[in-house]
Amino acid sequence: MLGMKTKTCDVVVVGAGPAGLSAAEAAKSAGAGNVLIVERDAAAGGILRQCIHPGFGLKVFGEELTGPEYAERYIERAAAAGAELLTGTTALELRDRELVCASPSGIVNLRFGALVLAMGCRERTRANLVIPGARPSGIYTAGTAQKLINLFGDKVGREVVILGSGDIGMIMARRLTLEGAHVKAVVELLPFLAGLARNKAQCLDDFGIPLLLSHTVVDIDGVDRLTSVTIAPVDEKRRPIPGKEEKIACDTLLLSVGLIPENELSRTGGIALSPVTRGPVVNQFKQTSNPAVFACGNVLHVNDLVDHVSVESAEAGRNAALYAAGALPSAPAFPTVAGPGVRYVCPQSVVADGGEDVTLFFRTTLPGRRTEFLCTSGGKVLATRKSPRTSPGTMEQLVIPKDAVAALDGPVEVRCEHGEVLA
Amino acid sequence: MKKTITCTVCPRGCEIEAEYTSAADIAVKGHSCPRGERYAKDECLAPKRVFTSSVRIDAPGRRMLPVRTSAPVAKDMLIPCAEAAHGIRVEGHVNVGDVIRRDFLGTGADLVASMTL
Repeated sequence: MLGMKTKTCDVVVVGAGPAGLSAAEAAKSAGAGNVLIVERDAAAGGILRQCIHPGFGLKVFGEELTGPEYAERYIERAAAAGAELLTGTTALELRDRELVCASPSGIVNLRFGALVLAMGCRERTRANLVIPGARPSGIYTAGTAQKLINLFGDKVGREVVILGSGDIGMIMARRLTLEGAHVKAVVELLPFLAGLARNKAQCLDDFGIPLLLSHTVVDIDGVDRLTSVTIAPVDEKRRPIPGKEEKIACDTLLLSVGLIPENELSRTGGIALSPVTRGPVVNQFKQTSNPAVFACGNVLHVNDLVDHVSVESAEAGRNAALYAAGALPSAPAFPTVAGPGVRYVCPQSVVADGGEDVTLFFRTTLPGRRTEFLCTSGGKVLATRKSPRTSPGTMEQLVIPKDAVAALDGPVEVRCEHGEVLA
Repeated sequence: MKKTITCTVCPRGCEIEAEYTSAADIAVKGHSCPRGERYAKDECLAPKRVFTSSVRIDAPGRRMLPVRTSAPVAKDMLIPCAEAAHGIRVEGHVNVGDVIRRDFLGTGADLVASMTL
């Protein structure tokens, strides 16, 4: 086609957020000749650019960094390793060994030996929740409000209600309070906190912001601008209890009601997706149903810690480089199964290759105390761990030793037994 | 005094029980590391937090510069710090770690840039 450019790379990475940067650095370090990151934004760093709060890097760097500081270190590492970055470039379509991109200089076809999907996730919106009521201005997702305040210096509102106790919502409750707004309540449908306990402590409790569990927003009022929301407690089936409604005057409603991996591109390439994580189905190499395509970070499953993303993505990048060089090991694969008390396990299969220990990431269905996690296969216990306290908001992990991986001969189950359920 | 503290040092969020009569007499249990023990003692006597915000910058294509304190500051200084940050304007090129305000509001910590712009 006239004007269409084609470029061949050993490894192409889609997205220059924390996942893509770490994958690109690792791919280059593992010997890939040319590694190219495509990023639709004007700069690298992804969501970390607007996450100006501290709490990042304790695991990877052994110190507490803000999001921009963490991003900057990985931007430097990827560049120092020799990965190339193409900004302002949107990946449009994934074909078998080719990625079609719209770049500032026109359509570019990138032929790859291996591809790493690192597109991150998007926020759920009011449309996903179907909240009845009027449609005034003043309703934002928490991440949009974060971007407006932290990157653009805009004011989003003065009297605020936050629906959802996800981490971004709690972090924005603190941020808005510091910006002079009055956060009247954080309202959570579930009977337990959705985000991390530390964020309730340092973002809500520090500023006396009430958390209303088992409550939801049932109505929204306002003509041009939001004037109030109506909240109500919910029963055990999460249905609002009639007659218990309460109107809260406010000009701003933030939604922190979950994140969805952004897999439109994966679908164009026919990559198999999990209905639970809504990310690609992968083995421990982070290899998807297309063996040349790998996935990592929030496009794979929504993480609560960037440090985990960096570590997991480095594995994806390294394995992509090995695949491009024809050196990724192959062996029979066995599925992982989310057993009692477990919502999902990632990876969804384990290849019985004993080269490395395998870390299984998973989330529990309910919060609890004195919890024991068990990983078994065919009656054999492969790994166990005890935790004094656990919640669905915290990603848990178990490590299967490499000898046990090599000896696998059937499905691997992860289950969780609470000493006491907290819900 | 008895206090239940959710540790914010790391994402683990340990639930720590602290019992104390004075600075010299604090009994702490439930922590998993020495940093948690120190955090719990600070929470009893003088809670501290890292302050972060973003301030105006005159740089091409950017309006805000993310900033942080170089060390945790007294918790009750967070709101005064936020109010003072509103009046700050930065000009020209900034490197991550550059000091924007030395000894910010007398907290003993510097206000530093958290991004190169």
